[in-house]
Amino acid sequence: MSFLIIILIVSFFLEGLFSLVVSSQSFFLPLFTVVALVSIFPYFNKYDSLFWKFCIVIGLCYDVIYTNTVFIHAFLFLVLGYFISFLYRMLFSKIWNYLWILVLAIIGYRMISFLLLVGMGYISFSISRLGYSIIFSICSNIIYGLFLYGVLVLLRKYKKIILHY
Amino acid sequence: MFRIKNKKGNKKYTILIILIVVVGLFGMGYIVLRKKTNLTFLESCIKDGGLFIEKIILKPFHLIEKKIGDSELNDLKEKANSYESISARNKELEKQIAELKKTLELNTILSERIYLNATAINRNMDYWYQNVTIDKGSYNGVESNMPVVVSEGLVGVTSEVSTFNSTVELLTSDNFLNKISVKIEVGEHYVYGLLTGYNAEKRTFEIEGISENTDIPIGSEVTTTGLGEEMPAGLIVGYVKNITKDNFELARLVEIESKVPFDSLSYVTILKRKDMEL
Repeated sequence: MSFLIIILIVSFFLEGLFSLVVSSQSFFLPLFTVVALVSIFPYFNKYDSLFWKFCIVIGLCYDVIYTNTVFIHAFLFLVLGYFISFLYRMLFSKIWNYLWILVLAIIGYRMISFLLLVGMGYISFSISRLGYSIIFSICSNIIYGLFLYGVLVLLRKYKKIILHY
Repeated sequence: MFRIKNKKGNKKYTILIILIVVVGLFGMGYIVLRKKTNLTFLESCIKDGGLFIEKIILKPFHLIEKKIGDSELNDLKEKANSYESISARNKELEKQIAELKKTLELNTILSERIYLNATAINRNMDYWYQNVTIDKGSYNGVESNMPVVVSEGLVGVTSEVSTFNSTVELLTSDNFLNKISVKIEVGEHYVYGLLTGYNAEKRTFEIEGISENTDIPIGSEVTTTGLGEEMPAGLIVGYVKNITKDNFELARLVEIESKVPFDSLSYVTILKRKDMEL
């Protein structure tokens, strides 16, 4: 359990640091918190409600520390949490499926946040901007996702990180 | 039969609750995103705590960056870059001093500012939010709506300020609500207008409400007028790139290009009013 929290916290701060290194118009936009949520979900072993609570808490932290938009990311991450648990129920957790889920989660997250912010009048509607935001986010997050997958598989060998009833 | 009715009722309630939640979220989001209120004590503590951890992680990277970079060369480059900005400000200052000498009634000059340097901690989080978090807050005398610049020109204004950090709303943000009064230098005189928005696809700013019918040459310098309480005069906003007409072919629309690297800001300067130090 503690390893899953550490992975989530490290990814959260890494996302902030990475934003300083890459330009917002590059192919390496970080969404490491989303990637971490996708990666740790299988280890919650049907404790879905606990995972959703994690999503809300990390969303709130994201709101307060990074974007100053209290409750918007808490809601976004909760919706994403439901979406991730739905995708894992449809597809089994194998490496190829994991990558599919990762890509779908990134696309889903970008689309929901875009529609939400357009609805609130914060940004103007532009399909090309939505497209760019998805394309720019895929590359670096898949690399980070594969790295996290490896780390979690290794951890699983030596530590009991799966939650049990 | 009763069960079916009950189920239908439950469904109605569920739809109603979902509708209320969605409408509530949109309403709340609108208020949160549009109205820039001060951070609460709890928000400020969490934000400062989180960003403090990030600063600690960043420290070794900054040290390596400092050692690798040739500081002398960087200083010279910075000076060369800031020359244009300084010369524009000097022109403005000279003009203002001359006017003040005439009136003898004003005690302080509008463009008198104190420079407060700050380092970016994170920027453009989540792609849609065009803002930068910097490591100076109310403890350093930062308040909301203070102009933020780099050597290439105006960057934006401070928005949410916590004790040790603050957020800078970039000029490129769709949500930038303050229309800025600007002037375009045409030979010896100025043409006035309002900076109204940013075109993300063309990567240009737009100026509307051009006051005169004078020909504006491409490449003319655009600076702030200083009209309004917060924005001082003489800050470079950009250079004229293109002049078009609006949809009704009546008013002129000036497109300007900024030299500020909005996507890769690392160090910025906050302009504090001098009277705030007293």
